[in-house]
Amino acid sequence: MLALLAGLVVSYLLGAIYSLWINPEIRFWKEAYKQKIEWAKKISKTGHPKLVFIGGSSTAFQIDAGLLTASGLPAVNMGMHAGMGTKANAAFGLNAVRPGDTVIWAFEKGRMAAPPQVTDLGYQALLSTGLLFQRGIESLALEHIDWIEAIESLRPGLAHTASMIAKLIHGGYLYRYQTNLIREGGSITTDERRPVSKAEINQMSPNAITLQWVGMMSAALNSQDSSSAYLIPQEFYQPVDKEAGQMQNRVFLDELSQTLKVVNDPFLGVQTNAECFADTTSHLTEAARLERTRGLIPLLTPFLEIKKQ
Amino acid sequence: MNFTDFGFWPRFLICLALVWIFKGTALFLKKDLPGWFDRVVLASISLYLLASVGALTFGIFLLLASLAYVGILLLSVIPKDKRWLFLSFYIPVLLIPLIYYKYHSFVAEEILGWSKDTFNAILIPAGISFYTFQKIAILVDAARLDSYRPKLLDFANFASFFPQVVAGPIERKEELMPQMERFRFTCNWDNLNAAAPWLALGFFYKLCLADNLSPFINRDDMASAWPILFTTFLFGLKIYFDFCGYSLIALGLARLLGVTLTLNFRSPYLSANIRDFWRRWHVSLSYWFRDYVYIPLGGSRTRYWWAGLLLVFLLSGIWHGAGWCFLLWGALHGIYCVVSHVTKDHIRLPSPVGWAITMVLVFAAWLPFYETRWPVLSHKLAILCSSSSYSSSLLRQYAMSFDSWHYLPITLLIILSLATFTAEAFCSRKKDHYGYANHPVAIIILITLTVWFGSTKGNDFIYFSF
Repeated sequence: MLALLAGLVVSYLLGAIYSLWINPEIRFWKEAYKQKIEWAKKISKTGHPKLVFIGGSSTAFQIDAGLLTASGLPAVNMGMHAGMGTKANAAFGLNAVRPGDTVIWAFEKGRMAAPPQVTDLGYQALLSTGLLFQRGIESLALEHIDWIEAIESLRPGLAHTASMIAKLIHGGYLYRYQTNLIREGGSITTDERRPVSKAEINQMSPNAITLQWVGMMSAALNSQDSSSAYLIPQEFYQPVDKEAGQMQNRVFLDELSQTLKVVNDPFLGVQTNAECFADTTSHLTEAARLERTRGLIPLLTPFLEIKKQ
Repeated sequence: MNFTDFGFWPRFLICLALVWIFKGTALFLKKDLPGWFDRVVLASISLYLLASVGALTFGIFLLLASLAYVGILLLSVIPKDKRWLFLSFYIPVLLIPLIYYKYHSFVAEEILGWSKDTFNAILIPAGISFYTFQKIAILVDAARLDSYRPKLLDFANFASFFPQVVAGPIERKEELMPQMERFRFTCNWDNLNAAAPWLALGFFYKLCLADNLSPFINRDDMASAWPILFTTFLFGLKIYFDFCGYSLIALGLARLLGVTLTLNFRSPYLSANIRDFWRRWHVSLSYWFRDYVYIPLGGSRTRYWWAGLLLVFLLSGIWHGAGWCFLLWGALHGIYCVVSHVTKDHIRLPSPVGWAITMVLVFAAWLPFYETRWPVLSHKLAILCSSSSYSSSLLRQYAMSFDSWHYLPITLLIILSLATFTAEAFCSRKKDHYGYANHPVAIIILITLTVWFGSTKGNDFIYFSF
């Protein structure tokens, strides 16, 4: 019995140490978060209101906050790993918001259509950064957190261990993204190229619980003189699917606009040029990110101008 | 009650802590507790934990236990020659809840051809098949004895002993009743040390192996024979680790309280023939059918022993679930056993060949066990019977459908499963089933693997639905 209890305690502690400090995935996102927050603080010090982009990795790969800032729109890209769950992504993002800022929610369509959640990876990231214990506006995103789940999450897990073993055998990087590719403003890029498959054409509606959750956070932002809007991330579609994709995204955004302001992106989340994508159907290459960001400047300017008035 | 559910352990440990505090205080004050104290407390804990499963389960359990106890008392006053007549009326009465909850829709829809909307879906009380069979067994055993009148408290503990009530082992009177009659809560290292290997192994089988295999069991992939074969193989692994894991945890829990339960699994996937398999798989159910159905039908001494054997396996199939697929599973095993009995004196196969044939037969029979949609099963069988479904290009296509998130964990799980079977084989030779878990290092490894890799997605035990 002593062996069982000792094994239980020691293996849990080792699992927790690995999950919080050694896991290369967590280390990368912790570093990314640190740089994003430092950038946000630097901008806040200037006294100007800023745009805070909140979402998953598609946000991290699609918005160049450095370029926006240089173009007169102070911005920070708080996009984190979508695998952490929307609640964790939102908590990380909200931590960068100061009164007067404008939050641009940029969760992928599929995640807006599902209930908000925190995954094991999300709990690990929130615990390793200490964000789970903070009581600022970011705690709004984490309402009704299951602490038992949070405690349970501090383990490496089978899928992660299997992939780490394979990476160790294969050699090379232990995580696919490297910290030297985190850009000023918080965007992320990669040299990796993978063939992209087409997005599925299936009509989705925003999830009622997610809408309520985003609405609640937006109301809280309003109360501290901040505002918010939604921007649909781009996804790869085959040229033949362009119209159908834009049509379904328009319906989706129309439904969403009843709760949130929506950025009128003429692309409607559809990108048919496969060359624009790096390693997934929503991760843009560096050149494509700059191109997309330039296109967004006129669309985003009114949001900060309204604030200034 | 689900032993891997977080809700179970606080309840159980709080109950246990209260008992120790109470007993410790009594010892400190030098007050003697009455002899019945421990047994009353055990019955209370068992009934409380059973009630926490659900009102329906608790209600049906109480009804059946009461009927069984009244039946035993009646048997003790009925002359011996009339007892079988009494049982032939009384046992069907005990079976009414089981038939109603588990089989009514199957009988109505599949046999009588009534519309599917005739009945609303009815929740099946957890473990009803297990405790109904246990009550029948004690009634039959009581009828065989001159005069058997267990004390109500001992019977309550026998019937409700929580580690075994919901999913077995189906404990028999002669094994469990004496332990209940002399039950005492004793906190000592012997009990704790005896429990630890079973708990460590049970949690490892259930959480690390069975629950992690679940997401890879894709019943709807019928693109060729390969996904059907692979899914059947994975299901065969999952059901073993799931049910064996549960039974080992039950054994460990009972050992914590100083009670020994039947080892329900004895490394069945190492069996050299199908008869051997049934001496190792769900042992308490196999022996129940042998003692209360097969032997009363004449056993192996009659000319029609094969019919008795087939009937036993058909009943075993329908015991597992109401459906034609379960009957097919039972029929397959019945045929396997009859053929095995007929050929046992004529054909002698080398052990590895016998083992390989047995495993092919056992795993093939898992197909109708997990694929309970009859039309889908027919379609899958048609695919398996078509030689074009086995082409190497289809195999390549199937292999390509796995991305790294699939094949890496599944490879790791299969390696862990094979390592487990190797360890089982090593111990089985010395008739010390699962003995490898007795070593402290093995316990630490098992617990570490469970803590690091165990799934927490809340998969119920498969046998809860039986």
